Amino acid sequence: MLFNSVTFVLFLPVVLLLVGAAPQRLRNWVILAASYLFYGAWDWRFLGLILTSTLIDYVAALVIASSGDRQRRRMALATSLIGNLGILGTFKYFNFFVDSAVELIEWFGWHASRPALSLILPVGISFYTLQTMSYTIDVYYERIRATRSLLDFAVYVAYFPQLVAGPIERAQDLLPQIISPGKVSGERINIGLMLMLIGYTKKVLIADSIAPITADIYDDPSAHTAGVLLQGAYLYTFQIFCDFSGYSDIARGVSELLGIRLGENFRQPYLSQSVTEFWRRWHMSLGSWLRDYVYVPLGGNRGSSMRTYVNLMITWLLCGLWHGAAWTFVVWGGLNGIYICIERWLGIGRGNPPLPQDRREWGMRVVRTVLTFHLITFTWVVFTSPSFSHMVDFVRGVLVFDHLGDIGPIPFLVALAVLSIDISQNAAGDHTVFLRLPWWLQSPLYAALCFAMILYGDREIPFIYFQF
Amino acid sequence: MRRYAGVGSAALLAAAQPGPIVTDWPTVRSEPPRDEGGRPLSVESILGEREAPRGVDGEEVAAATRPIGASTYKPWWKVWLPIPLLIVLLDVSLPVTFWQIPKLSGMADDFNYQFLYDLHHLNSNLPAGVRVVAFGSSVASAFDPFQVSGLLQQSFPDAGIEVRRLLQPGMKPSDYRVLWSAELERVDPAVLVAVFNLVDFLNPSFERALKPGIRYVLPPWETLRTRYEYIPGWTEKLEMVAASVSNLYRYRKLIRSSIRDHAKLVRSWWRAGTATQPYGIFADGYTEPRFGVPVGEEIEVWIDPGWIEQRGRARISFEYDGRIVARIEAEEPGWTTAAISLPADAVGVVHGTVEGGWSRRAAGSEADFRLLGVRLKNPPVLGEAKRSKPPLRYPPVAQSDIKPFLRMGSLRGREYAERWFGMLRADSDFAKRYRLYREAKSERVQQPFEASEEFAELAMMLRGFAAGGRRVVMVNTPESPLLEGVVDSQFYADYLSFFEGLANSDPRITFVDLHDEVPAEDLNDWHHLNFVGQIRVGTLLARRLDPVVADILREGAEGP
Repeated sequence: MLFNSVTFVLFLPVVLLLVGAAPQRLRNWVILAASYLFYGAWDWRFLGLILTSTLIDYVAALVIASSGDRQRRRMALATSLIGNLGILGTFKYFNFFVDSAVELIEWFGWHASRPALSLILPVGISFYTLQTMSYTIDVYYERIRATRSLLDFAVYVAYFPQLVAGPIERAQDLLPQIISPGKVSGERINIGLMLMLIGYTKKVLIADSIAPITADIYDDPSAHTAGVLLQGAYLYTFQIFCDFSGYSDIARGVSELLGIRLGENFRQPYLSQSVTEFWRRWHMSLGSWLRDYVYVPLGGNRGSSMRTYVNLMITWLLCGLWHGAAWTFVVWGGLNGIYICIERWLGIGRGNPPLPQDRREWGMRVVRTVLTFHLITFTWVVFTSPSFSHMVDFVRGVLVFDHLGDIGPIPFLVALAVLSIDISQNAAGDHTVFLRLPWWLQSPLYAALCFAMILYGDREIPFIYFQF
Repeated sequence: MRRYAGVGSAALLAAAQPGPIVTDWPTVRSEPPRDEGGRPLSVESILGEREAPRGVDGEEVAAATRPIGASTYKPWWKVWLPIPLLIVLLDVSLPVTFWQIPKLSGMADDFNYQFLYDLHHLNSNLPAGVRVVAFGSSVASAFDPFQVSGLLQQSFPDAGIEVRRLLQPGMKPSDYRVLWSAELERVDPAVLVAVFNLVDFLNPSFERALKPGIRYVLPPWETLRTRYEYIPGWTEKLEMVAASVSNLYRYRKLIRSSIRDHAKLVRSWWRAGTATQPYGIFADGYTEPRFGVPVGEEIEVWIDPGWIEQRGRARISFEYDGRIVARIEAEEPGWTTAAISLPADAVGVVHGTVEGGWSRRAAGSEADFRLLGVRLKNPPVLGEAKRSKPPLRYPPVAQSDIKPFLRMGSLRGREYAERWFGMLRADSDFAKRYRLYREAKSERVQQPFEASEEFAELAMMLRGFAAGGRRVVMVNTPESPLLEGVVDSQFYADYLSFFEGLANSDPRITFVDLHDEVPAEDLNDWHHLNFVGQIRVGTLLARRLDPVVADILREGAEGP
């Protein structure tokens, strides 16, 4: 079930009413049923996987928590990791690894048959797999105690607002709220509805309007001039942000209405002054997951400089692979890793820079932001190209620098729309800053946005991150 | 401090006792809370003890993730409750407001919009006299209703003749039954012209999924009620329910089209304003149906006899700066002058628009396949003329509708057939589509004719109209003579007999068979006519409607 579908528009009020009306002891049953209905609407067979993942980690965590035997604890953790990574590997990476191995063998001149599994990628599997794994690992490291309630844990894994595209929540943040949710106060309603409105605006009005243009350009880069390709590159940069952060905003808004606060996932990333800072602001829940469960276990920055760079590169390559089973994603992750290693070597991007004091500093800040934006824009070209040949065609086409006027006004209009939201939020340090406008201005403004969404909301274009 | 080698589960398993996190990795999450003894808190005991998450350098994260403190916001109902009220207000007032907005683009730009636009005109204006409404699938484009209207008005000048057409590609008799069951009384036509072709009966059953394009133009609740099982999927059914209760939702595509057209209009103004140079004028002084001439006090134009013969009258309007500055209405051929009243500082061009257009080829001049307007006595020197375009607005006949019909140019006879079959062999979408149509028609006529399903639907609907006192004219549109083995088949003979039988069963029903009335060159494909064919069919249809209208007028004069 897509957030941007008529079905969800009808589903949500019913769920909110049922959850609100249910007695406390039945509340999580209602949320769990709603979550399974939400997920099963794609394909009821996906429920088998999520149930398997839930049971593996629930049992593994209880075994770990109840056992003092180190070997037994490690076995339980290994079972969880192998189970989760096994499901993920089978459904997401099997064909990729087999194809890559066959291509490698054929590159050496040998013949190899190509076994292929005809599997559909269950939506959201990458997200809930990381979430359930983090729970078991945290229990293992005694960062958190295991919960004995299978119901609460099942809700933690399948919680529908963030099930298919995050934010990837940690048990220490989400489970307590599932066990005892906050009161749905007027302020929560304000925040929830505001976040949903911003999310839908980004997704339905911006990202989905851009999608047909970028799809056409990336589909056949060799057919377009440099101006058109640059238009596609800039537009995709905004499209993926509005698509993904729009999803996160809607997820957080919906969750607020259920009395549960989800973590921030995006903090105006295109205002970053370095790629390192960008990754502090983009998909923050994945960044912190990779830090805690990959980078730190690898040694983090506790070893030599060279070891730190190696750890960073491994982490970013895995990050790329997590996004998709294709070498373009691995290269994309590697490119980000290289950017971050270079910035680390140059001492750029550590901490948050102070506010500029004079015009020159402001100018430098703008220059750094624009430069970072372009570095990131290039990574999205790699990210979204269907193949290396498409990517090469794209880059080659841009380097011709012909018909630059074809860029047209659309990327600038989109940038204006996105930055007007981002700069307002960034300046106020508040995602819901628009609630501070006079109420008589807010209602017609939001009604106009809702009107636009009714007009343009029937395209039902899936969220980009659903494929991951 | 321990170092870890490897990645993934091996590294995680090795990390039995990780040291404190010493990293500049970006984070917004706090370390897990622990009790005084350093043991992690259970999830249950964390409740109520959570602190605001802090960023990498200790900065506070955005307010939306902070625990909620004292409210600085307005009460939620003050902001959010007016929104549904405003939306409902907009929704309820939409049927009044939306149709006041002019439609700027031609029929082919958005068939749904055009259909509902025409339907709204019909059901919101009572007939002034004899109202003739033609309806059908894309083959209903076989004639221009303005032409038929002009010719009938020539025959019956005081009868208040109005000819309108509802056209939706792919719409079958069973779909029209749903439409007319809801709209017939409001539209109140005296004559209903059902336009069809064999192509409408290729699908042997109406028990099929309703196409989205057709769903948009049918009354949603009536459609949901009567065709429930043929609407695929729950989402589509829910959409029909939403369209039944909300005008905004029902007409959203139309509103989008209108916004797009107006945005184009603004962009064209922004880029170049309106045309400043003459345009739409041929070297011999004849014009296209839309043309621009330099500003002047009067414009002398020639109304060709062929024009009057084909359309019954000539109507030309002249516009400057968005305002009509002169009109010509003539029922006789010859030179006529339009006196134009313009402001003293007027510059640029005056835009002329003729109602429809006429064709010398349809009048017998085989070599001239242009769609024409007037002939100017003093045609301007064109210069930059080709760059100028007419102002964007809804014309009775749009150039974009005309040009695709002329892909065969002026070719005739064998040359035409060779080009046509050559085009059909190409690997183009057009060729694939019309190869499929040929196969489908050829296969259909191999089967025995059975007057069931869509045939039965059509018969039932038309008999219902006739029983209600309305006149019904069935028009079987032309088939291309290049389509071999169809019209000479037994199936086709039975097909014609079926409609003849239907017409013979009720004196209020008339059958007009035009299947062999136009040459192949006047069709754009197997069954759609180009504008030359449209003019020919329009003339024929007007001739066949004459006695029907005369009957109605006689009955009206005699009283019930």
